[in-house]
Amino acid sequence: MNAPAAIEAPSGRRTARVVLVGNPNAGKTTLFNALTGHRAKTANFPGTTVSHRVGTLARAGRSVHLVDLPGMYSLTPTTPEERIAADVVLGAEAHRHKPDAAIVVVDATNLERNLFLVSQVLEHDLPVVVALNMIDLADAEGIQIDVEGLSRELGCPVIPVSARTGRGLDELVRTLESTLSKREKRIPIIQQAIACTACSSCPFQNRYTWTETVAARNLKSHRTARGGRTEALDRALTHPVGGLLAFFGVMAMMFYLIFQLATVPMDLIDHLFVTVGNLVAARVPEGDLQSLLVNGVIGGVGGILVFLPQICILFFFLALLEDTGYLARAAFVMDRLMRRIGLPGKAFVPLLSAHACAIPAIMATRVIEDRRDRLITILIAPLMTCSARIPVYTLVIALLFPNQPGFAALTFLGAYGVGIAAGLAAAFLMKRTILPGETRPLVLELPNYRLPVLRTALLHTYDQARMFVKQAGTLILIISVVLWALATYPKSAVPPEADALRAQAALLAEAGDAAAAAALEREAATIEDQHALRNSLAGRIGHWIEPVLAPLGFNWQIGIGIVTSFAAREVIVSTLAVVYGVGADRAEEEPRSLYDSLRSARRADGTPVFTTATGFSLLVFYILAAQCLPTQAVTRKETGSWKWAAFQLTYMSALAYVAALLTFQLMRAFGIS
Amino acid sequence: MTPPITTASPKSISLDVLPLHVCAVVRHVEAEDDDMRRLMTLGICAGRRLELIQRGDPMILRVFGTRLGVSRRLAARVLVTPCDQITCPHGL
Repeated sequence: MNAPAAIEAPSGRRTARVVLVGNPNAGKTTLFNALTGHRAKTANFPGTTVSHRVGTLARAGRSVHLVDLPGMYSLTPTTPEERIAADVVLGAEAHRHKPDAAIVVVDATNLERNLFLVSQVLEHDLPVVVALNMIDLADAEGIQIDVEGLSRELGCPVIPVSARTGRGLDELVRTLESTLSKREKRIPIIQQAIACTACSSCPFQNRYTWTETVAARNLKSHRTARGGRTEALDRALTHPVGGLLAFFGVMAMMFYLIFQLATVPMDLIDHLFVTVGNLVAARVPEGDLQSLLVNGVIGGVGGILVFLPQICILFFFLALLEDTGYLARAAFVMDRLMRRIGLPGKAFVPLLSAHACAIPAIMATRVIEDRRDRLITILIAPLMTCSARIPVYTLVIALLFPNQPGFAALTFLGAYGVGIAAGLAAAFLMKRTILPGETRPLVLELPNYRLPVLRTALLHTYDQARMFVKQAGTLILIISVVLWALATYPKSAVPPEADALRAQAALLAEAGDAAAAAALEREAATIEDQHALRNSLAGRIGHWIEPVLAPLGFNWQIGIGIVTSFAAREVIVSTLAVVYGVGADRAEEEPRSLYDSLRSARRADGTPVFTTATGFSLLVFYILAAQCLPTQAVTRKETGSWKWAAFQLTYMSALAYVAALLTFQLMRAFGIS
Repeated sequence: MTPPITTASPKSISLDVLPLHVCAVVRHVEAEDDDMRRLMTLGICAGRRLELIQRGDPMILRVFGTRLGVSRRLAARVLVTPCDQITCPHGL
């Protein structure tokens, strides 16, 4: 994850380092992508969780590293991201080396506002090239800018470009190269003009007057009232009622598409891992190594990567919505509602995304400026019902309401509701205990709507997906191997029933009844698997924790399920299938076989295992428990400390335990069992 | 809740009670924490003109060529003087 070494190299290096600076919504990222192609890396600034992208300039004759800084309105920082961006531009302590030059990206359709940042960058001893971006949109709106005049007044080159169409990019790179090679002192024209000696209440007063004057002098045509379309759209989309309806419509559609579009690639990935597993099984001799590779590594990693399509589609839609300018409206309309529980409107989209998967949701919290607000959002995101919980809900609800589809649907819906309610309650409590303080009030630019750039969204998706695989991948691998070992060792002797069945199968095979023989072989294998798992470490842990789980209504078999599903919740389904002797493959092919044997399962005293109380208790447990260690890995990455990841795991586990305990004991007390 | 104000009134009022679509000049921004500084870097700064284009909390202002969503709590800390609509530049 480290930035290329050249960036850390002492001065005198041959690789030039150029920072890309600009207002949010000035098209900075699109320009960065256009300039660097696909050769960009995402890295964190040293000692922070703020990420940036570094790429190599594609068209340059010499080696130039381009650093895409977080968008900022001014070098007087007001958010952590802006602070770091400003530090990098100014070459402040943590980022020892001043950049060799800066490209300041300016939205040509909004010269006045963007010149504010330009004026601040120009005050520092740093070669600057201004990229007058979105010049095509400015043309279309009849905005004509005197580029030469502007360049004269700013004392630096100004190049009209369009990052979308590629117009002017070659000239931008040429100008940058000549600026880098000259390294001459720029004449600081503007310093005196904007020094604010007697400004009463706003330190930027003179600077604004300056930008206004410069903008007015260099705009050849009077601006027409622009953004008319945006305003019309906004009347509907930011309306207190209509805006909310539109927002929920957009989100519903997004989720529908996520689940719809993801089915095919998810099946493909599933299929791919099964195929690879079979190939490996065919080449590696039967034994521990084969089992480790097939069941541990390939099965475990595949079990998580199967969610990658959903994650990618989610990232892609969020990037598209962001690029159109709609996400700012979503934060705006949700702000009032979210504020009641102490979170900003910007927390809503991440929390909603958590209903697909908590990991992209936690990564998406970066839009929240305030650290406390962001932390709380990260901490509660995994309480939302993610896709991995759906198989568990399906199983438990099928056991609870086998013949009452109405109740089943209500319970399903209720499970989602419990997750949301628990998350909001947890946020409310954290806001008043461990992370006290008022929610940062909303200050949010509502940019003009525009068509999204597909390439930008795709690159963003690719970047995020790579980060997910990298961050969660290693951990998933380790956990998969550990869980495999727990479920495999110590080994036990083949049970006599299995041997007897195999002997019978051999007789049948000799008699020519191959089908019956195969069926018996399968049955023998199932019994052997069941026996092995029960006697393995995981099985013993299940026994050991039974006293702790008994008050929740769980027996040791369910205990094994909880232990093995620590990496991924849905694993409990296949574990129960093995423990109860159904066999994981058969349970997948015909779920009814699993439901039937679970329903008829009895405890030692002859009472059924899955009573209504146990079912609800298990459901509540899986709604609330943090049974997903990759999430904790991402929480650590995004918060910068294991402390918060550990806290997340602890509070969710405690919450799940207590809630399941209350559910089971109360239901029993009221005679429901 | 909005006090009666003539558009030509030289009296300063707080931004959260500015009538809709009336151009106003920022007189004073109560200093100075990160939130207020943020408003300033977005153009809500003494001497700038702005216009309220949607009421509510948060409200929408037009300032310096862009629309800004701003919490009422912050808007209450900004003093503005409503001005004659004719002097307000087109496309603010």
